[in-house]
Amino acid sequence: MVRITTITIGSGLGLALFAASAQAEWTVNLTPGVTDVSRSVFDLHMTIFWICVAIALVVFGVMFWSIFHHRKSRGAEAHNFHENTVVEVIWTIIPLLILVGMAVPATATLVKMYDSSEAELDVQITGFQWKWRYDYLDHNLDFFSNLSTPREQISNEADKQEHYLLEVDRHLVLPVDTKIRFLLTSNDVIHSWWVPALAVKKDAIPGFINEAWTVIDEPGIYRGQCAELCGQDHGFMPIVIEAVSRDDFQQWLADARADKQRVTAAAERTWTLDELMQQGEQVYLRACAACHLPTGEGVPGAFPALKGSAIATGEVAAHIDIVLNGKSGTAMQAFRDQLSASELAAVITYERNAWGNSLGEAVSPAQISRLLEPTTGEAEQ
Amino acid sequence: MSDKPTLWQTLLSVLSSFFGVQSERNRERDFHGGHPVHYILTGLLMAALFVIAVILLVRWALSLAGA
Amino acid sequence: MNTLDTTLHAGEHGHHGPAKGIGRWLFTTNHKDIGTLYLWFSLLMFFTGGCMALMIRAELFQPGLQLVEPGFFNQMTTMHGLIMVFGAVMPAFVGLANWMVPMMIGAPDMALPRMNNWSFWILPFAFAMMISTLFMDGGAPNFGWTFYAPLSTTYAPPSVTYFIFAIHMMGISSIMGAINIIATILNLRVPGMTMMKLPLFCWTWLITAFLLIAVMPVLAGVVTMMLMDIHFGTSFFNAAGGGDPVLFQHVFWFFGHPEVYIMILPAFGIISQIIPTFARKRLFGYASMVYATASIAILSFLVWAHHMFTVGIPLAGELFFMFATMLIAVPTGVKVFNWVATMFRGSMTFETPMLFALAFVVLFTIGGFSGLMLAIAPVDFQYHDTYFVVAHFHYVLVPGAVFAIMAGAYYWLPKWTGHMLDERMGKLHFWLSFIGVNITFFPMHFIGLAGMPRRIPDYALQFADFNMVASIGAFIFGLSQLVFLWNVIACVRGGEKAAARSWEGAEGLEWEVPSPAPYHTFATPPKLPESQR
Repeated sequence: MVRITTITIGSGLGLALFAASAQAEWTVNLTPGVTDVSRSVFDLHMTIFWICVAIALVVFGVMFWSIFHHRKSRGAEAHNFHENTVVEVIWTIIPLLILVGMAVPATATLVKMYDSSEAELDVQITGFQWKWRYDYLDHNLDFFSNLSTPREQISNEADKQEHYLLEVDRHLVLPVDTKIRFLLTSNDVIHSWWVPALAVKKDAIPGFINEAWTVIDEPGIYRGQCAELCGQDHGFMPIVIEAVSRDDFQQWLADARADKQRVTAAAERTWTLDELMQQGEQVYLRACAACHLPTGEGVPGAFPALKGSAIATGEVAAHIDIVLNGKSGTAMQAFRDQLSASELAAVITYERNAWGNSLGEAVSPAQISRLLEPTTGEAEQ
Repeated sequence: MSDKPTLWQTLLSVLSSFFGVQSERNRERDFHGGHPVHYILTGLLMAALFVIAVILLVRWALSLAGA
Repeated sequence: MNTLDTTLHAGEHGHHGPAKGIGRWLFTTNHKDIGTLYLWFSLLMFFTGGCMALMIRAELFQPGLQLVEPGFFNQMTTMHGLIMVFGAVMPAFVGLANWMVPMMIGAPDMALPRMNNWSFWILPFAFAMMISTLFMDGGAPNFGWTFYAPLSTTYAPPSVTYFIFAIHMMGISSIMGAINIIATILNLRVPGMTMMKLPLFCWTWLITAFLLIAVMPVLAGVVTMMLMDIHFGTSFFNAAGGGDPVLFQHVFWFFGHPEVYIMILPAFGIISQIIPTFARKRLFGYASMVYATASIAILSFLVWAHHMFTVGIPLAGELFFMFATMLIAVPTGVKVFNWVATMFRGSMTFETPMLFALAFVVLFTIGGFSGLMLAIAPVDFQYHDTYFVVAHFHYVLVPGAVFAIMAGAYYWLPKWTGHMLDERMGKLHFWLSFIGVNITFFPMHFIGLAGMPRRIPDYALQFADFNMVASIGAFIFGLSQLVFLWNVIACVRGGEKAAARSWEGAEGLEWEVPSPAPYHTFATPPKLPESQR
């Protein structure tokens, strides 16, 4: 019986070690990452891990040795000792010293992680249910970053691609060799922004701003996910960082700003109903379908149906108002800053003309633009 | 072996309970001569001192790190 | 000689046997009946929560959404956690305490028998209310068992109010149970049983009971603040009204961390009863064990923010909670060393309770190691809210608390039922559970380190292999618990007759009364056996 214990545990450990060497490191262990901090975190992790392994070998070694030798079936007689103050003091002091040994490097790393001074670039990160907004403060550029994995892959109707659930429509582009400060906050519930390769995980808390920082050493794509349960699509708000050289970053900034101008301009031209419906469907699936469902039927008790609803088939002003400004005290967000004027117009038009809602009227992007002006004025300066 | 533990002995006993090791002889003394309330009060006091000690340790660590 | 005494008394008081029919269970004030009720209730909840866990693991068997919607998945993780913590583990310990504490200290019953009845009978109603939320519009609570605001307030489904009242009821039940245990242990010990002769299970429960009384009101407070925020316009946790969502976490974890020890200290007690029995040797370092338990209990109030290293507490706060947390490893280590030293140079046999106890020592220690790793704040930034944490707390709670409960059940079943367990079936259950639990939770360390966040219904492809392994393990573990059910029922119905001292090396007053224990034991205080004087 006991022999079986030893063998099972032994082979269990063996299997674990085998698995560790057979797989790529990324899949069984922490990533060393691409920053100075992430490497010290990794080193700390490995140090503590090996200390634990060493202690385990000693303690379990003695235990299994006793199990093997001191059992009744081998004729072992129980010895009557049940106390030894010296031994007890020793085995209390030794762990204490080991702990002090661990605490010193841990404290040093932690102090380093908390020093976000002298950052060259500030990026404000805002968590939304269920997407991230990145705002390059001082560079007049902000955008949302949504999951771009198609729904068909999630519902197993299409093959899953390499970066399944870890891909977004717009990357957070960052320069390498630059101290970047992240300012984290949230628009609704608590989210947590985590990129393992940077060893940055910080909660985004509504009404408060948290700080974190990084200096990325190598250009590349680094992926992460929201780490704090934030509602039903918590598993579907990944983070993708694209680290580029400092020059490329400047170029990208310029391009991104030019794109933004083009989108603003697009709102001024006249759109046909078909165009709006087409674009509206895309926007709807991206921004609305998570709650209201692709069929517009909603979830009873949690998310109201749009199909045949009073708002989506009633007065257009009320419909525009709820989409732009949200409904406080519910999960319905204000989309005025999340979507462009043409996207807003398209999605409202779509909601009023899809699933049997057939008002036949289009809401024009220009009309929405005018409504957006008072609050967007500041951001446009 | 006196029956009533002194204040100092009480302190030492509470300390050793924080540490988790106590000799049989002291334990006998505490449980025969001691009064539980004294130990509980000392324990609470020592817990507060422990918190202060950790806070001081943190301060010291921070001053070493220059943060 | 003591056996004789009690048997005579049982005979004299024969007309005080249990009442007939359902009334026996509804109105009982007998500690054994109430213990039985608690234990069956917790087994029922264990299977309920287990089915939810299997639903979670089935969905996670492969990437993609196959079986449930993300919203329902969140309801499952939430309900699984709440049911296992408040419905399975805690009532199981209270049930064991009800059965064993009076018998271990030579008391005729619990000190407050009517309150005892009440504290049990609140539970079925509390859980009926909580489980009924699954069928409400908007679904059951879906914000995780830690129910962080504002997800659990502003953004919660309407059923959150039922959840709040269910928590209140569970809290009342726990506090009354705790008061009862304290009153019993402090007042009803047989003459001559000084505190330092108290069996360790009673000691750990005594300390646990104080923890319960200290922190259950905090839990009640935090859910009441939620209730106020949701229905009465306050803004405790709403930044827009001047509140702070992080306040919720501070209050919650001030309850939550001692709660962790509430779920493990009685387990330490059970293991400290079982290992000496089967090593045929006195527990090594009894006094140290008591002191270490007390140290852990005190420290547990000083470490709550280690669950919150990523919320942005100031550097000095991080360091404080990191140091304090690391210190907990010391008394915990002392316990493990003592168990190993008890086995050392003993004369061991390996019946089912001992196998579970040994597995507890090894696997709980593994959970302790990952706990130590999590205590290191800078590294915790990588581990926090990943499957590494899931692996950690399942290691301390499943092969930790749950294995200890099973070890205790197998250890005392002969005393409860009068029949010995079929050892072959017991060992079958042990090995299936042991293998299942490791296949389930060991790979979670890997996927956590590799970067998989917890509480997600779908995951990236690099996590697929180990998730599949974990799901297979979960089904092995889950189904093997049917063997446990079989064993318990088989033991109740028949089997080899158990002696008063059912295990060769067992010491303590509970082994002085016949098996099965008569309905009333120790109506007059027994004499302490020679070995315990």
